[in-house]
Amino acid sequence: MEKHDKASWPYVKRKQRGTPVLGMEVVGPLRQAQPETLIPIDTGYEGFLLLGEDRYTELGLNLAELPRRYWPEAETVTGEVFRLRRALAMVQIPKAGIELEGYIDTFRGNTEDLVGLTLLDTLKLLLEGPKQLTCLL
Amino acid sequence: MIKASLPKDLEEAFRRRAMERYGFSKGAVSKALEAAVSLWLRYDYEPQGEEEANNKAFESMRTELESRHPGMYAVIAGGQLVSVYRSLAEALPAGVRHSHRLVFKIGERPAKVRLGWRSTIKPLGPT
Repeated sequence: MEKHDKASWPYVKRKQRGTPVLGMEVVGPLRQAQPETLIPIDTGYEGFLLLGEDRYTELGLNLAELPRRYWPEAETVTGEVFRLRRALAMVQIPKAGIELEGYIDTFRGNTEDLVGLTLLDTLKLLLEGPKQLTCLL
Repeated sequence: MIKASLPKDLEEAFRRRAMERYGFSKGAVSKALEAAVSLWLRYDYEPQGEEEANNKAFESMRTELESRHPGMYAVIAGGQLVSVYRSLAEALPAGVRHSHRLVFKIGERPAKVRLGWRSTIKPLGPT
């Protein structure tokens, strides 16, 4: 970690390529303790945090859901449009002592956990490509 | 094998779009039907039990909540309003008594969300 960084995480190999990640804990309504999880950053996803359906259920996010009227539509890069399921939760970045509030999305068939642009809007990040590190400044 | 009938104008429009999308081949309509059904299955979740009751309760009190408590966090469980809170930290913790709860910031409305290339969708299983 560089001197001016609050925290940093090595890229994670996905499909033979290093992918920038952030280490975080999602605090749902059940408030159960869980270890820090490394979640890939996806600047193509406009939301806050996308979780796989199974993880969404494990965290008890069905106990903090938005009314169905407020579930947003999502559009994939191929133009498919469908309804997201959405809940409110707190996200902690333990290494940096940061706690954020935001919307957690999932959808039927989703297996990916992704950090989106809305969460990134709150952070100062440096992607240090040569060292394969995501640094929180 | 599913057999069904559609209104004539809808069937014609569907066949026309299927041919445009998949070509003038024998399987074009079947392919288009499969895509349409997959999309429909993914589009929405069917509310059940407490979830349905909570959403009905929300709809019945939405206007009043928006006029009386804008910007506050509301919790609906067991088909009724539990309380409104100043912060999410206060509203979030839940006991195990409920199978579903609504927690939301009153008056906040969602925008359409674009998903990136990394989002992958596994084939749909039984619902």
